[in-house]
Amino acid sequence: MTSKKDIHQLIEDLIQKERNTEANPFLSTRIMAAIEKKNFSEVKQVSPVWKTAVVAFSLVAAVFSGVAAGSLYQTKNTTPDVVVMNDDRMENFVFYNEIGNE
Amino acid sequence: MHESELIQSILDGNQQDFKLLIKKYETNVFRAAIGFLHNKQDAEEITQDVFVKVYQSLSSFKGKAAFSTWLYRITVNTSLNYLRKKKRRGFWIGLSDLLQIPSKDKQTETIITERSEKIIIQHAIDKLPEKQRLAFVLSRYEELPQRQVAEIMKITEGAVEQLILRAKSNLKKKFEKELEWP
Repeated sequence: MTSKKDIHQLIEDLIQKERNTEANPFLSTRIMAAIEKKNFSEVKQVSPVWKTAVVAFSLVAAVFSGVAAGSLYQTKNTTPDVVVMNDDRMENFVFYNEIGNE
Repeated sequence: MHESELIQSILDGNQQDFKLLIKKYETNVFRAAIGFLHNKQDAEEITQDVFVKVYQSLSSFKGKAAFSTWLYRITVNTSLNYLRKKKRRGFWIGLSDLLQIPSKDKQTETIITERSEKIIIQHAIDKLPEKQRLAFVLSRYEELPQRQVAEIMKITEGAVEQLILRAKSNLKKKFEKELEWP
């Protein structure tokens, strides 16, 4: 392992190595592309206040249109449906259920 | 073109002039970022973030301090925020590097020793108190004069000197402790 005297040298060597690391030569192009992308997305982006306002307005509109549609419906007073049945000709099931007729 | 003219031109909407500003300062920002992060990919990401922030807030630069001082402040803040977010993950990555299976091969052993020393130094720098780390990185990695470091950190030159001295002493102590030297 390294001798005790070399600590500062070790630190200096590491710093020097890291200092000599070179960035990607296309970094500036990448940065410009990121800026352009950000600009474009900002233009397209709708403010969060507007988004909230639109959602709130849609909810209120939905509730009102529901209420309006509900009040448009009117029930008509029609006579109740009565089923008139003539049961004279109906088959007597009791007849078949009698034990003696089996 | 003079720096203030360049800035005015960018503010007037000449976006392509910003590339000139990037070209002028990207190495400085990248080197400072690598001092904090010790990783090329992370440093590039920080460099990109810094310039995007600079572009977006260029109108708020009043020219009271030098442009480079303002730029370094943004770099320092962005790097420190990035480090805070990455702290836990970084710890595990560093640990896994240290725990790699050693080989009996002499050359590999040397590589591992060098790598361990590198990681120990990096961890020692990272564990320095924030102000000491800031002063140390800006003066050692960027080789900025104490006056400018003082401007960036908004403290006196004497305080910067003290911070650097304490940082060096702490680094030595931490390194000795890690390697368990007597």
